[in-house]
Amino acid sequence: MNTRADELLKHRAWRQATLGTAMVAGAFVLFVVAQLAVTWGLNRRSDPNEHPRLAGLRAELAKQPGAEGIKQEIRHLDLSLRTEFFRSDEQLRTGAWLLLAGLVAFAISATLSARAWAKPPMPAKRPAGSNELQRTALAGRCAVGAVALLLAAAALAVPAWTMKSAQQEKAEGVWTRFRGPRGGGISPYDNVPSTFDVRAGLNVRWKKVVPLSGKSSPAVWNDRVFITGASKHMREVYCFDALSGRMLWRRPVSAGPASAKVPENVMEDTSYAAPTAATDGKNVCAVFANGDVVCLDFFGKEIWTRNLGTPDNFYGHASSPIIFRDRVIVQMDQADEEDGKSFIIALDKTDGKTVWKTDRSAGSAWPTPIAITAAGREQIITCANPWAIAYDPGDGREIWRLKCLAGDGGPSPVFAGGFVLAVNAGSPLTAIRPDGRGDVTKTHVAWQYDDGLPDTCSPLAAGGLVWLLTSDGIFTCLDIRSGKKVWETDLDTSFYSSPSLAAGGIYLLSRKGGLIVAAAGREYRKLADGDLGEGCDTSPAFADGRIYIRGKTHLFCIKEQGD
Amino acid sequence: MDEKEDKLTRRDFVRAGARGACILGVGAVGASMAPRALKSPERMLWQIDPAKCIACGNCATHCVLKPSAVKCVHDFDRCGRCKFCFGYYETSPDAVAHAGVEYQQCPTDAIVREYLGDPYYEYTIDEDKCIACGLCVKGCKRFGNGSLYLQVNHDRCLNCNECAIAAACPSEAFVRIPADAPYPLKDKEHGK
Amino acid sequence: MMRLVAGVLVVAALAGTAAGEEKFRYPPPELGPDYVQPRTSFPAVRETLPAGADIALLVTAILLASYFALKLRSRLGVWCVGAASLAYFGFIRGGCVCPIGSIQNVAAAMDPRVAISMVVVAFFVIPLIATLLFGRTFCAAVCPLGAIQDVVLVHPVRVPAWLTGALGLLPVAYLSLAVVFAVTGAGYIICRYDPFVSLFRLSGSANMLILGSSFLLISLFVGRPYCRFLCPYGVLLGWMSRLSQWRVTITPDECVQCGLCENACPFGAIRKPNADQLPRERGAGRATLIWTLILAPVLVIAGGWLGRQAGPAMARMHATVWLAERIEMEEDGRVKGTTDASDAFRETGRLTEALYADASVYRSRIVFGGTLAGAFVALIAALKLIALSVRRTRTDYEADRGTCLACGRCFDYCPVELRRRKQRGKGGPIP
Repeated sequence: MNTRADELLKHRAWRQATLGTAMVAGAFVLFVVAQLAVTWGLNRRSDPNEHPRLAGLRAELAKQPGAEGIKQEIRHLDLSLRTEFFRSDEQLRTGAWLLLAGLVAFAISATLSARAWAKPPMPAKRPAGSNELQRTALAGRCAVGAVALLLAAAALAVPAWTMKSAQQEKAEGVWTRFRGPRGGGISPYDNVPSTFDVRAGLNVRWKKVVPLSGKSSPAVWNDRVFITGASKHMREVYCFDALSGRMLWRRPVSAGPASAKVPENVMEDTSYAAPTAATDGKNVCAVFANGDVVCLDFFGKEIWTRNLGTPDNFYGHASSPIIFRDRVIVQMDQADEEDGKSFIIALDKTDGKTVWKTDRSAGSAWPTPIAITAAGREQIITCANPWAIAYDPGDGREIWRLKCLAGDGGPSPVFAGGFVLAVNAGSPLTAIRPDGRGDVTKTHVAWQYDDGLPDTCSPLAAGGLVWLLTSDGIFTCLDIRSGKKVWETDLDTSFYSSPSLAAGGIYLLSRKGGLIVAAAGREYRKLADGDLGEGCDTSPAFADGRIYIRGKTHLFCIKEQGD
Repeated sequence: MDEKEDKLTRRDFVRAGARGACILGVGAVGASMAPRALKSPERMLWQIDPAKCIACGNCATHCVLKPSAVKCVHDFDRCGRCKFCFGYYETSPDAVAHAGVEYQQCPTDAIVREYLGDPYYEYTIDEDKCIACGLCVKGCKRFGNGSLYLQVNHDRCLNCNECAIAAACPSEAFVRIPADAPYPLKDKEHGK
Repeated sequence: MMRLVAGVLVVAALAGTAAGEEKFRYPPPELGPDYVQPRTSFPAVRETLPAGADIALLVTAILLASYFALKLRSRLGVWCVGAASLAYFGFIRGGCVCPIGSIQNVAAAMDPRVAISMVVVAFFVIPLIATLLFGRTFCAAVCPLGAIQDVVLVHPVRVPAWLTGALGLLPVAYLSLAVVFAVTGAGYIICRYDPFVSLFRLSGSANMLILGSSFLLISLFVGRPYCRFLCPYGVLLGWMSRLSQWRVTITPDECVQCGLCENACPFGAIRKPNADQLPRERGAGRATLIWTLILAPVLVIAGGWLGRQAGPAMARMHATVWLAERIEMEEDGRVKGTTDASDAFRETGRLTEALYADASVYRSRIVFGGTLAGAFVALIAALKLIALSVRRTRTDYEADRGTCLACGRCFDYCPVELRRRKQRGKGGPIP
């Protein structure tokens, strides 16, 4: 622009020379870069440490040791790779220096060339009195806003994107109360494992010790599994993570001094925590042998606790609570019918206050009620000695009652094929039409079946068939329309766990922990068997692809491996 | 123009005050660290602790230099001079002493095996060929005496502020050591 | 950090087992008196200049650069110092330690247990103090990253000033992240993602080489992209430069408002006079200023909240946090298989609970740091908005104090400068 040297540069010759040199240098740089890229590829490909063909040959040699041909091939390949590897390393180093030289030449000649070809500066044309400043200030503010928004978006999006790469498995599926959402022991999921063997480690996703023992079954809500445990003086509700089995929380339960009274006559077979917890996605409710009823939220925080009085129940209280809309319904059957101590109570889920309480003409009983809709109305069906009674869930008034159960009642009722099915060891299986009112003993019995009667396991009914399982292993299948036997088989082992239906198979868990899966069809066929590895008196809970089983000491998560 | 000059001097005054504060602040940062800096060794270098090293192979792949600044080192005091060296040969059931390349571990043939006298052999490392893949280290550590180990070679190491291998080391085996004792194990060996 | 302590312990432990009454699986044989044991090679540490020399060279380079830019007003002088710095600090020393990276060391050294060397302290402090005196002459001719971008700039494309101002938020974000990660021990990201260091070393991973080449390619046409839009140290230097005692001026004397230098700066640092612009109505001007002032605390709080949201993901940069999450996932069965790191951890026999506890401490520290970082970036954004709403009258063409990199390219454009050179009898140097 101004100097003697610059004037010299402006000479045509110099201009051409500098521009020419710059272009040559630039082309040289590009050429070297291309060469380096190719050599780099060669170098990577001939890395003797990670060569797929070499590894493959070695694997082959392992299969055929002593094969001279393969040995020779390996030796040749190894030698050629090594030579190529070090040669290309050398080339890369030389190439890098060449590149540097080229870049220096380019930098100098390009700078000189830029000066040689530079045009003299021109004064700016800007009319006086424009508002360019305002416009640029506005543009500046908008730009700052845009960049800030970009950074904000990055702050939100990048974490979401990186956190996603940690594989998140989702837990789905609910098993809200004893024997599932409708109390029938039927699971809608057909992807549950058909077998497991804990001792062999087959299909066991996790197993965790439940700190206090009990005979309550698990309840599941998506990613949480709830279970209770108790001893003479302690009662706890546990929440496990459905996927990992990690215990999320454990909550001791007490309703105050009334809870301290230890119930008498609690059998070891029953345990102090026999009722299964119930959940509705927001809360979980549990009942214990001493009459404590507790309602917790999903984080283990206590909403309310009540003691309904120590049950006078030989064997110990076992009936599980159910959650019906905004009510917790507990069947508290005790002593004998004449003593009049039994009642059924509906508590408000939010604060535990009694909504209604109805006395029952029943003695001690252990079945759990079910909530059904039949004959155009909602009904709570209970079984006890000697009555099967239906209540209106709104006000607790009796709808109908039927005398069909004598003796100790263990099995809970089920509703299928339009019938309420009630049974216990001392009374035939009765199919009741639920559209009656008042005492319907004489009028609403559809049929009865008097063989292979269970004393503990609740019946299973689906697809026009009913299955009964006695504690000694007599497994009977009846037709639900007629009540006639379809088949019967002796499984020769004892069962306390109620049968469940999932994926077309009936899951039977023996007291020893053995699993038998039978076809849910018109002839007996064993589909699979398995082993829990420890004794089991509880019924399984089914979720999406998983089964939760409580054994003597552990809670198991059964899931198909390789998912 | 007086107004403008006044304005200028006021701004200049504020600026001068801020400048003084910054100088003091930066100086204070420097002064607070200076005693510590003067006491610590002049240079700190990267080195591998062989006790923690699991010979994962990252030393070969993560160093910014090619080949890596890490090399395998042989402690001759520990070497058992075995005929079947577990660092030299693969531990496969078919490998025997005197087997060829097909059963040798080193991918670049950097270990030289020489006969000493029955049944002993000398194993030395040709450093120019070693790429620090760690296969020999793994074998020797698991089955042998553990006389082969990886060490950072300080004639090559650039001593980066953040060592790329150290950042990738799965067992946190990289430590910083003072530059006047760059090879801790050497000093132990030769009693220096 | 703890590496220094660990290192000393390693030396001590190993020295302690010198006698070595160990049981070997295969005891080393007695090989007779004629046997000569080979010596294990321990290559000597590569020769470098002593630390004091590095510091002296840095000071010399800065003083020379300042002399050429401010006193002699010679672009050639600045260019030559830059080329020399590029050669020494860049290619010979491999670009390490540099003042940009020293931010991290100094930040980490706020913990008194962390060691730091004199060179690093000096490399952090000296350019800042020099900038407080002379302006950004360090950027012009001493920083090797700047120099390499500067020498390949052949055809600058103008980036409008309003855009460069806004993009100046990016280096602020980079600075905050780097400090958070350095203080919490997650790593030195400035070093890890330095684009030019692979070119200085003539070696590196494929990603780093591609990054470096891309930046170099961009630098052909966009002036100093790293310096202007990424350099975290540049944020600090920009602040210092605004307060500098002396600075580069386009003209040696009075500006005559000829407008010839308007397009001279490839980095967009020249501010035009605006006295002839339409005066804004005071009302509208004040209104804008008021809403930017009101917006400022809102922005800061929003920034802090956003930083907090990004916290847990940021925390995974820390090796311990990553390991803890990996081990947790393996134990839950959410991932198949193990990694070298999780295997190595299990072999140490440490309790996973201890690891989880450590990880949660680091995580909470990083989340806290993220919150501060977010608030800080938002604060700078708010200040930029406020600054854009305040008009300062200028009558002359002048170099913006914060963004002028003191390269001296504008000298050749000013007729007053040319006259000064003619008067001194020098034609002025090339280029």
